[in-house]
Amino acid sequence: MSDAAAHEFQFSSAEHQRETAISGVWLFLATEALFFGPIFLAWIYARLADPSAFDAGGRQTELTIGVTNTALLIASSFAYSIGLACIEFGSRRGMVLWLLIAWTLGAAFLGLKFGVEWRMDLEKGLFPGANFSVHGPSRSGAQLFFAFYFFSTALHGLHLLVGLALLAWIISKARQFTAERHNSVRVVGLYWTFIDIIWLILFPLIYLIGRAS
Amino acid sequence: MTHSAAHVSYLEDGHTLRSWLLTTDHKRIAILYLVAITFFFFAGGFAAFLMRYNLISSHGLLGSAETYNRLFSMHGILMVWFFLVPAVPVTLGNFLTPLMLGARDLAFPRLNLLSWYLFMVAGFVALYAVVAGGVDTGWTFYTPLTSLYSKGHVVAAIIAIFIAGFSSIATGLNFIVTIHKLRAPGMGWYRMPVFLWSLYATSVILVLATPVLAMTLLLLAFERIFGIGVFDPAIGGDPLLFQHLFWFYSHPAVYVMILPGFGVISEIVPAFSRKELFGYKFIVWASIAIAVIGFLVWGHHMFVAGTSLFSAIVFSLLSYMVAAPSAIKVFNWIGTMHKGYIHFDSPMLYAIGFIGLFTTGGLTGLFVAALAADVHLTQTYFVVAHFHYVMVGGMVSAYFAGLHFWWPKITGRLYPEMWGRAGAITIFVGFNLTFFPQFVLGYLGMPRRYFAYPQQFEALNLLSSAGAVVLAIGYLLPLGYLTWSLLYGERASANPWGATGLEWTTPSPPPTENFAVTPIVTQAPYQYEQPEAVIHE
Amino acid sequence: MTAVVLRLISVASLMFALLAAELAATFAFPGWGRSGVAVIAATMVGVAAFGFMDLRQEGVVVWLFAAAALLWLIILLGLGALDPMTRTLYPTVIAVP
Repeated sequence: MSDAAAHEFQFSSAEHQRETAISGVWLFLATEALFFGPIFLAWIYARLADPSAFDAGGRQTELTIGVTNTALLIASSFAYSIGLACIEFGSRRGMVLWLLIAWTLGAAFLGLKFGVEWRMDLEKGLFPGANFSVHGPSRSGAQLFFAFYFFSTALHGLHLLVGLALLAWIISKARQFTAERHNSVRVVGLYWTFIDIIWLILFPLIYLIGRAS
Repeated sequence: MTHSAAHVSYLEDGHTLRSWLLTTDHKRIAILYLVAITFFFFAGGFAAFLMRYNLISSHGLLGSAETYNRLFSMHGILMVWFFLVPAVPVTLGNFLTPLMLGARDLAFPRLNLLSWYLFMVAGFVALYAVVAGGVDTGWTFYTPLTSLYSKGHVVAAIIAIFIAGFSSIATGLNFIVTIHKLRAPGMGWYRMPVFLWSLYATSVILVLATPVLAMTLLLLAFERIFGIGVFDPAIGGDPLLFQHLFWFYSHPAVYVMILPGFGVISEIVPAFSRKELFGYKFIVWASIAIAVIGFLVWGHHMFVAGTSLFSAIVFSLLSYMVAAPSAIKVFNWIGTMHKGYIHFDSPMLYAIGFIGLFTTGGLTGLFVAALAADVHLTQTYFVVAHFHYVMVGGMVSAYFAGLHFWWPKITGRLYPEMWGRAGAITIFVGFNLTFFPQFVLGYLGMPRRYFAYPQQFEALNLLSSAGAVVLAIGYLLPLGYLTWSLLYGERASANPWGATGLEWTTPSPPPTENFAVTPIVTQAPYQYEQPEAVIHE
Repeated sequence: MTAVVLRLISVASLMFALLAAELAATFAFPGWGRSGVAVIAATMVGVAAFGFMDLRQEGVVVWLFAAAALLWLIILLGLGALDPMTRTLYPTVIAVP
């Protein structure tokens, strides 16, 4: 992208290009929403099959880590939004600082989730299969719960990892952004908060429904 | 307003392989796709040919159920995902959308090139899966066969379709944003050609349905790899969940396949009737209605699968509702032809064939949408005939119609018209010979996906296989004369058909930048009754 | 800039308050039950979309896309769940492995 061209040839102005890029990413996020949809339907089917057994599985999750992770992601979206506001007002340094904070919070989530929580779950024998550690009438439903749990957290984690890569890329290109030109920062921010939103749906499905009465 | 090059045609603008493989020009990308899907059409067609060969004898000439299962699976997978779903959108859609809008390119040209590469990678993985032995699961991949028992290359096939899905989503996203944001000055929504409305409706389905398929395939892959998952009945999972998720995509997918065809027909019928399209707003909103209601009917593929009777009734009712907008379109096309001045050039022959064959197929859909009738007709050749009438008699005819109509614009050459008409007629005859007997076979009870069958069905099967030979000839003819025309065809003028639409105001073939000056649109489409319209015989 | 930061701080505070409410609905107020959790979770999603993603400032086209995503999710989950919710279950004897 040359500095001389304010916008690409198929657009009539820089504003036209900006609007189009934002529309494009929202449409992409709509596809992501439908991408995660089947997981939610699978949760509904799995729970309908045997609610008490399914919930018994749910009660085996690590609530403290779940709550901490949710707080981390909320804080991370907050930090990113501050960073975006910084560049909107022309402060490149502020943007880099707050995006780094957002990145760190996101990385902390991944560390907690896969480094700590999954390790604990696997050590407790919660991966579905012959060695599943829950026995008795809840065994099937609990296995179904953990099939859902491992699959959905893996997929969410993968999306978060991609988000971290995008964030790192934005930070590395910080020099190019100005108050007038920072489409990419906006676009990645939308994706970042969307990952947060997916977690906001997964969190109660995994940690709370099984524990509520 | 100076321009560096003297409006070089997009075909001449760079002759290196690099200039083609790294192009972001939507017209070149359309050509890249055209070559790819032509290959897959004949690959999937070859599988069908072997299937019809097998079915000549009631003992199954290929001798093996396993081989037959792999053939119909390969036929379905290649035809659905590597031909029908992309067909019109990635070739005609990519080529024409900016031209019809008066734009320089799509909104995201690099995404467009990426979508082609994704398609090619997916295609290679699919070919690997086929060559490695294929799958015996059908293109529908039902659990628990696929998740727990099949010995075929399920994961490889899934990966191929998963990647192809992202190509679809990218294409759909690009079209939607382009149509919203890149229309020329003066082109309000109701001044757009119906082809673009059809592509918009198609793209809505692509972006909302395909992600569901992607996740469904991932869930299936997980279960196959780990031996346990949400579809597994042993732990309380539901194999029907797979069917719900699969058909949530695959039913709207059939509208992805047909809607662009509707768009093509809506362009061709006015042009060759020299008459304004009848009921523009009805056709436009019927397209949107099909896209929306099409998402509400998927359960009609599962009437005998074990779903609740209540949900079956709901889906049956909704399925009847989705037929209405399609019928409206047929009336509008016929209304356009009524009192028009009809020219029976090849595109029009294909279009007229489409109207007849699609209507037949669509009407038989009503039979199977009825719960009581479907109990008898499902999983028989009746269903096979139904969907081939709409998909092949309908969509493939529309694809050929569009290919012939816009061939002069895309290639700058005219194809030999007599050969074009011969091809259209051969296809029509061959198609009916192949598939009409299958309605009878299904009604009489012959099951689908069987490599051998009861003796009393042999005569009709022989007739169908004979028809398949004629149909094959019909498809090979255009492959021959269209290729011939590339080298020896007469050079085409900007508007050989005397049609309306911004694409016909550019040279044939168009320059890379499409328009020297951004056009300003001042009138509605299909103004064929204007005295200035030039009629070429 | 200050105004924007203050707005974002109130959004984040609201999110944390809702998180606390979610936990309360689960443990402290059994009467709210699972539907309480669902409503609060949906609210959090809305706050994130409007507060962090700035949905209100965007044009008609973006609203259309966001609304479509929501509507289609409802179709998938609603019409999809219709079958298992309306099945008649016949008791079977499960063989003990």
